[in-house]
Amino acid sequence: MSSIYVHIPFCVNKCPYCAFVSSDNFDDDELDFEYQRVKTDMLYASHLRPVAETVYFGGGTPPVIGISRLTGLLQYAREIFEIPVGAEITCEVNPKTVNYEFLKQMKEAGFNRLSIGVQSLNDESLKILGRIHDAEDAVKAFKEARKAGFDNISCDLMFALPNQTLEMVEADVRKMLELQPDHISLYPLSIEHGTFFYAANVQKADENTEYAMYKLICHLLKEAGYIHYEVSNYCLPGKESRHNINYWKGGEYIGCGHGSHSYAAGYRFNYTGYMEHITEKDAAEEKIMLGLRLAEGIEADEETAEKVKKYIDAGYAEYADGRLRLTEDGFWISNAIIGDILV
Amino acid sequence: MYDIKKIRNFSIVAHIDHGKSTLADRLLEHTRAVSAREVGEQMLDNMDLEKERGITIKARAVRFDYQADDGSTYSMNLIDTPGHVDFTYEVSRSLKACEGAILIVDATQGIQAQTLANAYLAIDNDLEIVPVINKIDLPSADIQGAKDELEEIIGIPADNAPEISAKMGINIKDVLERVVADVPAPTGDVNAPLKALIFDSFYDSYKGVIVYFRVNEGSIGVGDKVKMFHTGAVFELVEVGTMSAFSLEPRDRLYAGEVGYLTASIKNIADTKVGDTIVSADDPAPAPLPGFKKAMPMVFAGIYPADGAKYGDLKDAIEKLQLNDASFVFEPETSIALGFGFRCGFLGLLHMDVIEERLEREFNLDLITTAPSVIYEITLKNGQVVMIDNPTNYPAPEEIESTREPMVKASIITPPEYVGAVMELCQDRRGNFIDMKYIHTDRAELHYDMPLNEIVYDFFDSLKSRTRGYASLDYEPNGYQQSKLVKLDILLNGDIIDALSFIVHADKAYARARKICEKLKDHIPRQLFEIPVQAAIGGKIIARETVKAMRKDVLAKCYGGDITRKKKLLEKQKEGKKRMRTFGTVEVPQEAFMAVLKLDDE
Repeated sequence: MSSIYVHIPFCVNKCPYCAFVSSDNFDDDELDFEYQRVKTDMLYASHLRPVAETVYFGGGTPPVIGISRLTGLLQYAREIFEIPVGAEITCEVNPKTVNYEFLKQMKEAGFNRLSIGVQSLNDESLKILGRIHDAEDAVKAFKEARKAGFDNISCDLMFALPNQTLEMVEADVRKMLELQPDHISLYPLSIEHGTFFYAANVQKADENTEYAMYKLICHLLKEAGYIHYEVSNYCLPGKESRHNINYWKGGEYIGCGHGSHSYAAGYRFNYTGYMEHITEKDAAEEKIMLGLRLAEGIEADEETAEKVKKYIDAGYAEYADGRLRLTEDGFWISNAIIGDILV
Repeated sequence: MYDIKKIRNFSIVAHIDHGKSTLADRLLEHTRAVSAREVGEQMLDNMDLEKERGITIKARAVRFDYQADDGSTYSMNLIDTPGHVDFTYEVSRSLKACEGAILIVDATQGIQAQTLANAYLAIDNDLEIVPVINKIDLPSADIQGAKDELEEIIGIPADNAPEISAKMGINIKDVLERVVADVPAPTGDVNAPLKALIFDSFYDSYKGVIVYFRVNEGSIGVGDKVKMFHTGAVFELVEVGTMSAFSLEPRDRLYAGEVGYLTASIKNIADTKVGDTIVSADDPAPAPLPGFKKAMPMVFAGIYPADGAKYGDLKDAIEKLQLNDASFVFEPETSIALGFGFRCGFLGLLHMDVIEERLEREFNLDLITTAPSVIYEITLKNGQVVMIDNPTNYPAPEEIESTREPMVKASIITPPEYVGAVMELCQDRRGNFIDMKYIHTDRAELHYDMPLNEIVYDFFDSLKSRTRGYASLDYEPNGYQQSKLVKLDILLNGDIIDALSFIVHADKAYARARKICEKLKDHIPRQLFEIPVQAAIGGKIIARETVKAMRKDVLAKCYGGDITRKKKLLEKQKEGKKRMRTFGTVEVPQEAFMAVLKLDDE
């Protein structure tokens, strides 16, 4: 399976915790330049892999380039790739960058899944995160998306924020559940090198609190009928992100645009000129490393299971029917577990 | 050709870095034994490690001809000596083979601890001392100061001492002339029964052991049957000859006063001990040359392969090293924590360092070394006296009547501004101040009676760091002394890790226990469960730290662009895992073992 990822490296306002490639200082010429560049990348990609089983527009904030460029890129992709009927076509949006009219045009152009950057439904937290929207904007955007016909919507939510309490996390989650999103991505804040938060030495929640928040979230979402299908991702039955599952199963993907990464034809490469041959051994190790992010786990023999016996005994992993899978707690320390398997 | 009056046997003694090897090269070069082009850096030091550390570990000897100003040609035998306190006995045997010694003093540093120690050793062996002032080309050289020190401290006239720069090749000929003029020719009766002194030996994979010796009486030649007086081993000689700078040069016979080598398909280097006397097997001399001692290891440590599966490789490597170093002893031992390994005995700390580094470098092994220990003398309640070199064998406290530990007389030379720092350090290491002398106003010599156990930890490193590298140390064994000793055990998750146990003075046990627990806590990665790190004396816990349980290490987001990053993280994790040892349920990286050996944070 092969996927297309389109990176749009522009935002209204760069968030102080964000380490992705994006800029909030640009003009129309740059947008046009980037538009052409993505199209060129797509053209190359289509020669390498003519079929795109999922398409994902991420960023940055894709709507920032305007509806005509956004739909123009998808239109172009449809012309040069074979995109099967029913393929998942996702676009990330910021609540403040879309309205009903915008969303309706996106839907008509063929986008069938939205990922809304809600992050929190607490206005104080949103301010700390430097978001351009408040909680009401997020709720409104969600409702308009539904009205515009999106029946597959994911919401991003962050936790372990500075000054955040367990009660605040619970309130965020409950408020989010009222919207009944099809999919929820839940990330603890991480202070990344090169961000404003890093430079300002911002303190996130301590590790014990963070762990308690994670456990609380798992509990609340399970209770609401969501499946914890990947380390940070939850969904209603059948609403897994197909595009992302492709990453975790070691599938191929081709990135288009500045800031994107690709893996195809035995090579991993990106926009900086980095290129690495992925040998069969590498690919096998990556399958373990990525596969264990998924609740379904990986196929594993007895010998592999023996290597992680202590984790199994302690309830961090399970081995049954030839499959090794990590539990809720196991997800959280998966690097240690994977490290033991790969040694 | 053979004329005993035209032989000069001499060595060069100096403090480390005062230019011994450089001068040796210059002497050879001057007499055209080798051309300047062939002189690598410091030719007499054969091993890489020696070059890197600038020290000579094993003695080597070389013979060359020198045409002196008096018109005669002299056979010069330069016998190199190791320059470190650990090898005092080897030095003394090399000196025994000589009639004179060049004593180098660095004009920029003056007399240092090993200058003194080696000078006294040479004087004790009745050698004629030829003082030489080196490094006169450096701006900070104080030639007169160095000469004054020689006269005042060692008591030898230094007026005529050659002033040289071995590095720049200045006044090298003066040195050779002084050797010819001042060093007496050897004496000895060619017709007397054979007596030859072994001053070095090493293993060659083609010829077997090659023995370096000096003929004192009689002669020795190919086909002779000889006996090693002390070991009793008998050999028929295959080859006898002299050593040039680059090769062995076979001869039929060597006579009294000459220096040379022999081979006899000798398999075991232990048969040819340094200091032993070679005599004729058929007509043996009734008495050996005096002064034979078996080299006694003073420091002991366990050496284990980091990867338990490499035990066989470690065994091969240790056996190979011992072929060339009879003073290094070992026996297999088993640790509950570390598995199979070896208990090794060394002459001193430097010797231990050298062996460790050679094992790691030449044999490409990853090692875990336990804290060095000395030999303690324990008197049990039942009257029995036991010698303990391994904390594992330390008796239970209730069985012990009294304990004694080995002492050394330490001599430290330091610039006066560091006297305070040195005294503080020695005090801290339970040193008993004996006396202090000022040497020529800019250096002080301090004497302390100290437990060897305090020196084998990181005393030398601490001394160097507290004196910005200026202080020098020399020590010699000084008997045993009553002492309050205890065995400190380290527990991880409640289990004693035998490889981390050590013996310490009771007054220092608490401070050291706390420090070790802290260090371990910092070096042990988080694991699934909280892990108590404890120190105990005889079951009583005296210090505790906790390694917190692992909470989260996963990257929350992992999409297209994160995979490379995540992979790098895992590679690191994998590398780390390879260097881990598992104790019960606790994984301990190799670095943790190293860390507890370096407790002085200054």
